[in-house]
Amino acid sequence: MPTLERLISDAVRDLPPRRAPTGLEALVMQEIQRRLSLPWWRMSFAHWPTPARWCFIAASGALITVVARLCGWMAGGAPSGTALANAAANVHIPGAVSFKAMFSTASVLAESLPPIWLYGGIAVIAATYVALFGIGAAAYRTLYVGR
Amino acid sequence: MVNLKDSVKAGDFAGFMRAYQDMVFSTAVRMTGQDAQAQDIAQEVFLKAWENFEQLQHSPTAGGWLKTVTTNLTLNFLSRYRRRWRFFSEMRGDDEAADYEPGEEHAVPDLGLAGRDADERRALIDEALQRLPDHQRLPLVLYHFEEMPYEEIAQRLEVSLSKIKIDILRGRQRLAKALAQRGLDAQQLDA
Repeated sequence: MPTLERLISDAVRDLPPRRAPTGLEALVMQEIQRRLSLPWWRMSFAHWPTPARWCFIAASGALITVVARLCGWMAGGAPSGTALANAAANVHIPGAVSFKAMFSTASVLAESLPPIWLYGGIAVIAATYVALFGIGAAAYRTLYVGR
Repeated sequence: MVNLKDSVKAGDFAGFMRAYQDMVFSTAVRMTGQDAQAQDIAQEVFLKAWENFEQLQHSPTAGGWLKTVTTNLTLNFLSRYRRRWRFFSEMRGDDEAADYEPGEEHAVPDLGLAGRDADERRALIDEALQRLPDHQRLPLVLYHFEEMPYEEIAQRLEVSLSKIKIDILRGRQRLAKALAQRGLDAQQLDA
């Protein structure tokens, strides 16, 4: 007597494929046409012209350097007396001033907060997470698996 | 801007797509159990094929490439939804998996497929497959249609081996039951 495994294997062997929806080809061709008509800068990076790729890489490197230096300056890390610190002192960026104020407020708050509040807050968040997870599991077993 | 080379390529690609679209759609729809999702996946597969068309166009393994990409994309698609439920599904499956004995395949029913042509068999099996729950249909399709071994299915679905075995076993039993029932109904209609 054949096993059920053999029976199913025999039943599905050489089964003809199901016919794809009639609109599939049109949808794919439409999407291809849309992609082909895009200008190069809206295509993926792999399809960009080589000079554009190099320019993009160079510009990205420059931007990363500027942002890194700016972050160092905002955190007060620029050594005094250096050319960078002197230049930074002469530059006034409204956004940077707000960031500086925000960082200093946060650090003052963190230093003045009693540790018990901090640990208590973490414990409350963890307990809430566990409780919600437990309620979810119990509801799943009761409402879904029990059916 | 669309150039001449792209137009020729698009014409060839339409023929290529016609040759493989049924196979790609069938693979996706058997795994997902949903026509709309399978169509989205098939579209994605052919867009990837378009990007690699120069290599695929004259390749004898293009069908295998498409099948692999379809399987991978479908598994990625399904894992997005499955991940959030995996914990609960494993919790439910462990009770059953503990009772699993290899070779437990008794009470083999008549599937009611004898005397039917391939298209009728395909329609009956696809309909019965769509009624299976995801956690049984997916490993069953990977095992019987894609000929993937148990260990690889467990690895790909990130589920324990014992759960995969029990899901496939239960899936087979449900599929056989559904097919036998449909065969019986059809016989009654014919009479």
